[in-house]
Amino acid sequence: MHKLFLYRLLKFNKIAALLVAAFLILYAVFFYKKMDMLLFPYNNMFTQQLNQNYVVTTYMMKVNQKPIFISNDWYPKKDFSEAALTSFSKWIRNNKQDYMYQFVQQKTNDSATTATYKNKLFVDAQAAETWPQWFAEYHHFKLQKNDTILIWQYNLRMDVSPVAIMDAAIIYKKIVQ
Amino acid sequence: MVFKKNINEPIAVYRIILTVLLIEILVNFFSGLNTISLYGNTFFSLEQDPLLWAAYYTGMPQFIVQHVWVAIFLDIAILLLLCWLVVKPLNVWVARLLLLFLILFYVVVVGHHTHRNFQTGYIFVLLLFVVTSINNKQILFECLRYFLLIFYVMAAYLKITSGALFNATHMSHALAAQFAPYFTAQHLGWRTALNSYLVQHTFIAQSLLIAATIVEALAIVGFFTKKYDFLIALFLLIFHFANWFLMDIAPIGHIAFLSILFFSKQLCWIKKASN
Repeated sequence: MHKLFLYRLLKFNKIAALLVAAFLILYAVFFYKKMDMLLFPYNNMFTQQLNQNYVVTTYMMKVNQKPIFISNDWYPKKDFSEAALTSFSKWIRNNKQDYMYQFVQQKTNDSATTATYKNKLFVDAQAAETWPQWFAEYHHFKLQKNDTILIWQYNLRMDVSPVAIMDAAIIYKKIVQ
Repeated sequence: MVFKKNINEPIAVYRIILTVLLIEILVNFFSGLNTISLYGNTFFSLEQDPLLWAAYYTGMPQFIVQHVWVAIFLDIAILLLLCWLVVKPLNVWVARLLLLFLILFYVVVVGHHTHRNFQTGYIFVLLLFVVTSINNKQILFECLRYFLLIFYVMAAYLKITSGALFNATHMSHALAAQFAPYFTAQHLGWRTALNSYLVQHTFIAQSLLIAATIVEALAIVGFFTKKYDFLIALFLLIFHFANWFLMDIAPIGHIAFLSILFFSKQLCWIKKASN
């Protein structure tokens, strides 16, 4: 008993012990309710099977038909670019709504209240229109007036060799002003 | 129970941990993941993370990426404070200020990254340096140590209870999504070839998942004894680097945090209660 960390913590500082106990209980509750991502910064570590048929969707931005190769970058930038581009593309495909927008709308049930959270909990659609230009410049593309920015969606079949592009489509187009 | 007083703190160990943290931050910054590079980024998307919700509701992260001088200040402040802390690891006020700035960095990056990764490790590892009292440090170290162990054990637990471990094609499906940008860009090599091979050979892929789960589950030993912390940390580090190689998921942001397990003996001063 004397060796137990919680016992030693209780003897040392009761408030700290209560906080740790509360944390453990809260964590157990979230786990039980399958909300394991809520409290912690880490994800569910690939326990969920996200695709069923080896068809994977990915996105690529092209400026004047020249692709932006994010895989050439060092890992932190590559990971950031991949996630941000995917998220933006899904946002475009989902009528410029993301998880937080839908969550807030569901909770408030009132468009006026939802609007107060604009650019606080979810992005302002108008402000985000400049994001593709920012992304291109982040990858050292010098943009000029009338340059064309496209975002392509590719569906890849991954269980064959070589990997096959099943289809490709433009989901976003912008002419730089 | 007795906490040993007037103990010589392991300054060398502190410096090693902070140097690893500094290297991780530098890798981020030099790769282009810093607040200066994010200046003008108008798109963010928040996940289920109340910390991010609270931070973005204040408007602070949005303010940082919209004002270049604030972004420059934040990046330079983080680097300078971290260098200072490596030299003087017992300076709690520098550590506290750095913690604040790293939290700001974390919320800016993760909200605009739109996906959490290992960046939280920056904040967790710094918690060890923000208190003066050796007793508080001891307690914090043990809390962080248990959190680290819980994280891995729960990952193993989730894999077992979700049935992922017993689904023969689970790992090959997970692997399928990991190198998609490389294939799209025709950026091919032996890593993408290995990825393709594992996607098509589900038994081998699933065996790797089982091995990974065993390594994660090994962390449970740490709940009963600190004797094997070094070995547990070594296995977990190997697991992370294998993960980087096979799934293109680098543990940058987590290595300094994991290193507290490596130095468990040096960071632990607790003595048994004398009768």
